[in-house]
Amino acid sequence: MNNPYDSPPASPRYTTLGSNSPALSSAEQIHLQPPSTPFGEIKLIGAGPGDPDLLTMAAYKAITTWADIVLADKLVSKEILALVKCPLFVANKDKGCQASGQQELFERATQALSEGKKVVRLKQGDPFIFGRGGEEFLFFRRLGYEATIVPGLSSSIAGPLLAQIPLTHRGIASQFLVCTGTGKLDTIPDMPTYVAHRTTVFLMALHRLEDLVQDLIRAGYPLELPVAIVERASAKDQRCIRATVETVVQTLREAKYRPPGILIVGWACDALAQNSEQLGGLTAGSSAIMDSQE
Amino acid sequence: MVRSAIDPIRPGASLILAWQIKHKHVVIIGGGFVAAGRLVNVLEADAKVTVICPDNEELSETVRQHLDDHPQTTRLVPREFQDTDLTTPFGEHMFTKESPKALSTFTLEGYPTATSAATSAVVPPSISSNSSVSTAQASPALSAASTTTSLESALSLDEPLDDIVSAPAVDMVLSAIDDIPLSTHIYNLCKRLRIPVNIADVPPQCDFYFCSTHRDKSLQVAVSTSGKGPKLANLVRRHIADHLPNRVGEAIEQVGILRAKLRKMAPGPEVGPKRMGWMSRVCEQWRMEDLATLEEKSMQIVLSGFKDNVVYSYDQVQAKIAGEESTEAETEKIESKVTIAAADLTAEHTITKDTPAQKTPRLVLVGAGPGDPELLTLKAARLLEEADLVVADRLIPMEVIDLAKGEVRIAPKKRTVLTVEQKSSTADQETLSTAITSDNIQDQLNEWCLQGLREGKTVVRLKQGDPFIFGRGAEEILFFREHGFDAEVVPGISSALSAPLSANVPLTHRGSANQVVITTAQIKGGRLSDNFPVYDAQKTVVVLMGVGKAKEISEMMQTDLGWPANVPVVIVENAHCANERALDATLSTLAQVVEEQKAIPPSVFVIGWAGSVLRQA
Repeated sequence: MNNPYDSPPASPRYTTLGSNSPALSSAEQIHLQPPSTPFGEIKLIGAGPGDPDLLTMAAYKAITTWADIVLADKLVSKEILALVKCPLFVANKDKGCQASGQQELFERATQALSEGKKVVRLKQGDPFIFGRGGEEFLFFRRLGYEATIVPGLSSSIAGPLLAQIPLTHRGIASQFLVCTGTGKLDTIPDMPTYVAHRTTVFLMALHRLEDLVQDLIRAGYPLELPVAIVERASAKDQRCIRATVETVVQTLREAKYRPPGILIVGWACDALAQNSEQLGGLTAGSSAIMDSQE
Repeated sequence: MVRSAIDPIRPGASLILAWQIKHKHVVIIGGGFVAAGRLVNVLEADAKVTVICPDNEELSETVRQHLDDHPQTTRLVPREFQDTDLTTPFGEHMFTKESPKALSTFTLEGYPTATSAATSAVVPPSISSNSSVSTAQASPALSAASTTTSLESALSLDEPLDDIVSAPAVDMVLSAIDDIPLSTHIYNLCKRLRIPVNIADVPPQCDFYFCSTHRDKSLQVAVSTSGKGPKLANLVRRHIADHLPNRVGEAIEQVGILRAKLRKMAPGPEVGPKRMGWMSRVCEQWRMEDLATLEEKSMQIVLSGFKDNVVYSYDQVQAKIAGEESTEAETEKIESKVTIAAADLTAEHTITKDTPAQKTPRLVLVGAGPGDPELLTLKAARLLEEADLVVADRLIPMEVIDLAKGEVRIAPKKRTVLTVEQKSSTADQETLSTAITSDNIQDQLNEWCLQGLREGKTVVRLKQGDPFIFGRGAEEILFFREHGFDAEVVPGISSALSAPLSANVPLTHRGSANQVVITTAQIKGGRLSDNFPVYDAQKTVVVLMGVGKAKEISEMMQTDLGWPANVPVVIVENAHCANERALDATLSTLAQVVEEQKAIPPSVFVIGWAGSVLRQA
């Protein structure tokens, strides 16, 4: 596994012995570790889709009263960051800075932990669903800290729900699949095969929707299969755009997509649609049909 | 381990304080609109104010009116500023309109040093309109002299404190004039006299800035930009004011009264912690609007809970008041109790309280998460408290149910039904009897919700996990829509996702898994679902309701779908509950492990290479 975060941490809690230092007995090694170092604690916490109301009680308590320092991703909503009462660091993960942003974040976490602080690592959505939480968990384990993981609402789940799209629905969908729409080299090498009784949620897919739709069609997804795009799930300006595999590219263009958004593909998209007009694309051609949440 | 967390110091801020300027002397120089604003600020803080401004067009109508309205606490000195204005106590100005401006001269005569102030309390210092004649004394020498005097007298500790340390003649100076040289002169004088000063619009010549403030009775919100952006401070203040809860000022007033009463009722320091704890629970559990309605009678009822450390809810207090009035006061009526009764048709059933018909019905499908109350969303927790009726799935733990303040009904277990509270009217019994005869639990729950909605209640339909993930939530939405009620939906954490997490299995992990399939093992009629995914090394499969089908799943995935025998499978039983258990297996040993370890529902299987990433052997 090629992991860019495998580089040694800035200030390891456990002394790393240089290759040229003579081998020491384990007793001596233990002696080298500063015995007075206080033990920091770390929690990897999912912040949910963005609405502070959708934080878990555990997350709310952790960021408002428990933490000594909060390290957050840039994608965590401003409203949630506003709840933080202790020092807050937001990683700069703009294009081109992802690696250095992550590195700085690790350094700060390491520093705070070595000072015995309670650290909250706040991640958008759920830490273990396309959140790279596993990698961070391993990083902290190597430092000697076993992170507590607090699940959050993943936008892959909450987004469809907030747009009234059931990922599973008796008689329509008995399973759902969550995947990313962007693989290595900007393609998705293993497009999941079409299964009629499945709802598929694509994250990070909308910037290359045109290609993705071609992939879908090649993988056997029917042209009339309903799709929905949930933009800015749980935010005040949340919007749901409905279309079909055939019409979605044009519909989205007309609707003027505003990131971030998720793409939902499957018959369940229409399970709760109220009338034929909302079955966007099926009857109304390519006209953009939206229902926005007031 | 004792350890104190220290926040790093972030320099460059202002120290924000609430200055008790009550009965103290403030001198405002100027009479325009800036001065008017200052005047209002200090008058609201009960200060005594001297306004120095020639009685001409410079003196704005607003200032004039405030002065007229407060003859006791304000004085107008209708002339230009003089140095002695900073050494003259409130109400002791003597002036003639022709008095000259005293820019170049300065005297400390009349400025109350510690000793002279003791006398000045009785005898006004000898100030006259022409005090500017005393020009001979050099001020540096004088201030040195006065320092010595004050030190000496301050050291005589035998005297009563008030006699030695008396108030200075002027406690605060606010200059609101356009004349910059004069402003600077005033600033320098104040520095020398050690009077805190604010020169409007000249930040470097300010000991303090005015905050943009919002006031609602005792609540004051101040916004400071440290002198950098007064207009922005204003906008921020307005934004904050717009987002404060309704009637917050009144709520604070009433809470203040309640606290005073409590302190009187239980004054001892030994009950201090209990008092504080109880008070904060009242503040947390009551909505602002409800706190604002507190009056003598309701306060007595609220306070009656203190002895047993109980915080009555607003509804309980209202019910008690109503109960006292209708003489049929029953305490049980207040404590909503959840009772699980065997399903016989004689089971009693009532409605907690009569809800006025005009209330708007509201239905919310709420995901309760995997079980741990800590994993409820804030919204879910709040809705539980607000709901008049909570209709809950059977397996939701009591810790979650306990958050509900209204009536609670829990899904019946096959032929058992749950009823809530007391005696009933016959009409209600009839509704219930038809519900009981139905074998379908879902129908029963839907019926309960409908009944509540028709009474105009706020109904929370509390569902395990997430309402839309194998939770039939969408079916319920369709059902209620048919009956004319639109449901809101609040997502919850699905155990399909949190159970793996709880067992340290990341559903996606770079290099190990980039897709997650969540599927149920059983479809209609209890048959094995036939749409399990074909093998993909980068796919994690979460299987719900698979315990009874472990053998079939393992065989099907290996023989029909190409999954290798050694793919890790983690079995997570009772995720997030005290009795959570995670068992490791592989696809080929799955059935064996399930049988040997006696895995029981609710369990999920997490199948895929991600299972080996974080779990330590």
